[in-house]
Amino acid sequence: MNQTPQDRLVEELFNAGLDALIRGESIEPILAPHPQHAVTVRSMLQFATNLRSVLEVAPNPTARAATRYQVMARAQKPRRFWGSLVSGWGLPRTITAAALIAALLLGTTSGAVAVSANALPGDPLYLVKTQVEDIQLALAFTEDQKAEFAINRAANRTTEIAGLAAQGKPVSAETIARLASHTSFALALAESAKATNIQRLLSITERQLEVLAQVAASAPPAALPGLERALEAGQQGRDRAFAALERAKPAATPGGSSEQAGPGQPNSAGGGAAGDLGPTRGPGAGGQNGAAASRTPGPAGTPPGQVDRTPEASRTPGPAGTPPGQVDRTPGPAGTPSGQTNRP
Amino acid sequence: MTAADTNQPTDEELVELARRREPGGLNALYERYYDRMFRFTYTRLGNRQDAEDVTQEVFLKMVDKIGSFKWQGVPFAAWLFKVGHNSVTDFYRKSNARGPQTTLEDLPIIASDSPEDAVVNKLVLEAVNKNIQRLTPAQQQVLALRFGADLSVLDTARILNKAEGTVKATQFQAFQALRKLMANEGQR
Repeated sequence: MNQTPQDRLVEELFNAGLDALIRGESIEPILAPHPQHAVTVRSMLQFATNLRSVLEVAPNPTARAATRYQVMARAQKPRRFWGSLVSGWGLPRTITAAALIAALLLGTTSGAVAVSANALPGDPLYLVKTQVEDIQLALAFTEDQKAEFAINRAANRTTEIAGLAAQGKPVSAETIARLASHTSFALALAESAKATNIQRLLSITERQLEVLAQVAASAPPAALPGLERALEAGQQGRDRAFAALERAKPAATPGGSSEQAGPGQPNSAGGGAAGDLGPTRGPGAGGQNGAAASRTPGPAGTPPGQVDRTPEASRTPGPAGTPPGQVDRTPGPAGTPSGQTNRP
Repeated sequence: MTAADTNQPTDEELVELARRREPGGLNALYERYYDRMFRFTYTRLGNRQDAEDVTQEVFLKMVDKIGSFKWQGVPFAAWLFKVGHNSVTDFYRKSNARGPQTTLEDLPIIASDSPEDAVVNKLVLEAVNKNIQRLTPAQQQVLALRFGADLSVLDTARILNKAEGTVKATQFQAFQALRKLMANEGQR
């Protein structure tokens, strides 16, 4: 196409104006030296602005949550045959379901499934246990049932960490990552499922914090860094569960964004639980740059490794100045598990 | 606004975590890019269901391929949207260049003050959608990358393997063509 010099100038003005608009700047300095083209270019830029806002479409929240679940599942699975079979992505759902049923039956016949129920990370039967959980998840018929299985799985991870610490075994980074990941899965499903599921997840994350904090009080020094990270993951999970519960309420509080904590939200364990494991905390152990660092410390009187579970109505402001039941949620990248992003 | 401006982890930090399959890194990248990727695929495909499917495929590929991602002066966003661009191309190839099959119910959610606004918004989006699909593939690509994915001219040029000047010229032509198509639509 042959362009005249005037056409080229209009094109240049349009592109420069568009860049200015995208940067949030005025287009007038660009148009001022060329008044003869100002009307044309302004009209084109108005159209571009309208088009831009029309294309600001939001995805379906359910599809978004489902994709997140699959992405995290893909990341979690080792890239081997069994892993791809259990996770099932890429295989037709009917084939996957048939293979999983066969696998579950096989496991039950051998008795390994029942024995593996109490297995801890590192035990020979632990893989069987996690695979059975995956099978249950894959075979769930409804979203609510799937959410329930996912929540059970997150609860199992908590129990395992408590079990490891009780036996004086170190809690590996992989075990912590699994706790965070499974809690995240459960959240993704619960956020788009029934409020009762979210409520249950909230209870479980509260329990996570309670169990972990109790374990932390008597755990051997080697287990403390891992427990600290688990506490941070649990706090983050609980905060998200609480935010999801708030969103699930039929009548939204005016201006009450789920990202902004207010009176009545669960009290942060950041100062008391994760932050006070002090002596064993190495540089960058998780809390320095992550969730614990970004939160306002809780009441200074909260014993190390403990969670303030005082009922809302009876909470009084702690000396540190944090209103009772409030969490200083410094937003990370939307949904970023803040305690994990700066881990060494 | 960049990640550095808000004390958020940079893409580079998140990619490093994601390469180690740390859930936090992957989750943060997902949160940071899902909506933009959806808008990009939606602008290219004009169909919500297809856009959701392709967006999912892009993020699954991200998990598979991020281990081999190398920083070579190209931003992560450019790499990710290149994966998105290729996925859309594959989708068209597999579906024999099926065009958009959008109904009003298929259209994505647009925030509106009233039900009437919501209907008008959906009608406008439907018209825009239909007319974007009438542009040339190159024009559609540039529009989707610039407006759907919110990418700069430079990153758009990198993804399409074109010169920046070519992207700017294509962008201008795309707007002119779309404006004309929309004007004709209004006269019917």
